[in-house]
Amino acid sequence: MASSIENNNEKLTLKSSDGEEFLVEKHVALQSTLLQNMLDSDCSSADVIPLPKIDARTLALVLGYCKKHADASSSKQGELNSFDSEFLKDMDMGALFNLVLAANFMEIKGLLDIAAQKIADTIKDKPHQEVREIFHVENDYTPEEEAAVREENRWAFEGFP
Amino acid sequence: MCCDKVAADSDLLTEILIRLPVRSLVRLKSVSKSWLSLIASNFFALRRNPDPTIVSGLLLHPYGTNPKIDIIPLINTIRNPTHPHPHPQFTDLTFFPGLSDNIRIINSCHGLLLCRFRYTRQKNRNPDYAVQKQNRDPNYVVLNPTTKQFKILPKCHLSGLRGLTLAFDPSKSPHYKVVSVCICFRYTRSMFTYAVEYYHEIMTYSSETGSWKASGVSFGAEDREQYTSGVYCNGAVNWFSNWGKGDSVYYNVDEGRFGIIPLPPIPEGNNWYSREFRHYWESRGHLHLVEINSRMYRVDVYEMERDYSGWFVKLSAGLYALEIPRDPLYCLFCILCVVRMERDEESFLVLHVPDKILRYSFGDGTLEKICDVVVPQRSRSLRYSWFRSYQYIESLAGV
Repeated sequence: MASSIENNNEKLTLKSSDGEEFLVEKHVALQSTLLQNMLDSDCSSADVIPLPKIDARTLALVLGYCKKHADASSSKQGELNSFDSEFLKDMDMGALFNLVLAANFMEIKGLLDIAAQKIADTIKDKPHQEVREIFHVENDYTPEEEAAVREENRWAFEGFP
Repeated sequence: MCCDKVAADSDLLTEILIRLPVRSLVRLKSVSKSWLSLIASNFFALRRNPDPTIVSGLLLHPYGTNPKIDIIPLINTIRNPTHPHPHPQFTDLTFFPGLSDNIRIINSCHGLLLCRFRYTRQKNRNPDYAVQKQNRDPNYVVLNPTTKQFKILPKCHLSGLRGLTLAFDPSKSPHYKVVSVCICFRYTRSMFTYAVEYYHEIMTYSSETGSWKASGVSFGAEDREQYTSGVYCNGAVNWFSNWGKGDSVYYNVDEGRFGIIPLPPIPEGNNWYSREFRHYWESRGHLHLVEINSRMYRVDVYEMERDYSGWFVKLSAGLYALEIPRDPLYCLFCILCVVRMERDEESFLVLHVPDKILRYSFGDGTLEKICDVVVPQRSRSLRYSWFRSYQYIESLAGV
């Protein structure tokens, strides 16, 4: 079994939470530290690897990212950068959140970085009430407490509702 | 919902929020109590800025009585493209509601500032004379210029306050201390007479307890000027004497230990008065002393051994290339800051000549202009001095 892992043409099967299976080349899968560790420990290279936290739509996106980055040589950094920004360009918040969760779970550092940055850029200039809704965070301040925290940081609220 | 999962995973939420500028972060403290405690935590501050020694600017009090503060950004001159926050938001320090604009920086330490201020006249129309008098005395405040939070320190109960030094190392503790030196006296009795003996005593304020505490350390009071402001470095506050007049001393805050700082080596045939030692400063955990030879346009940066066994020349700069008027009487340049970087060749000096601020790089010996400076009315003088130049380090540390 161990010797066959050295074979570059080997493929793996990943299974999404909603049951869809994806056949990926091993060098593409190695972009994920999670999969790399699983393969190194030789636990399931032949079997289907279930990814119960990631749906098919997100997994397809993640694998698209991994394929591009695995195939590109290091000299094409500029090309990869423009791919990255194009990749996330019109993505909605829901898809971005799914992507960041998947990148975190599968330990794909580069994808986690760009997705987290994209979310940060999106919420950077939004009022806190809107950010609260985007993240579905329950407001546990009393109106008085909220006013006090806001008053303490009044300078940061200039130009905000 | 996917967004719930992200918000519930504090590691992942941290991963997103550390990429926000300070202003957004400060605003998002209002999202919820858990967001407030995450953003205000020491863990978050260290994750966002793992290297709390990167100096992103200088805060300078120009010469003159008006306590104005100028800000000179340095971050663009630091050749570090990986620094996550290349454009810190600089702010002035007059954001204290109800405080006067008469505020002076005393110390800067890893992102926090210790300042002295007095209440304005309007504020001081209290009919109670005791309150009036108390308000006339200087007050001290620790503030974070990045988050604009501040805390006015309770009064140190000893009178005869000589000076205060801020001791803060976010890599060791989220709490800071303020070390004060007070002058005290006692009567000593000889056979027929009483005599007054003066001595210094150290008190420390801890932000953890919110109160002052006597350290029990006292020492002689030969030089009363040197304790106005000390330099915190590696757990100890260092006070430098006017060379040759009393000892330079340090006080290790954590261990409550007092010690003497040795003098730099004196070359043969020289004496202290013919040498110009300036700029006692900390950078990246190193204690520095700068010697300027103004006739030779040469600057030597000494570094202290960690165990205080002695000084050695760490970096040197030849400044012949400075296109400044040579004047036999005046030294027409000064050093505003020594910034140590991870590698020695990236370290640099910030220099001030009458109309410019320059950066001297130790790596390749080049000079670069950082900005122009408005020349004060009496020309040929400098607008800033080394002893009123303070490091600005972006920090989320709470006060």
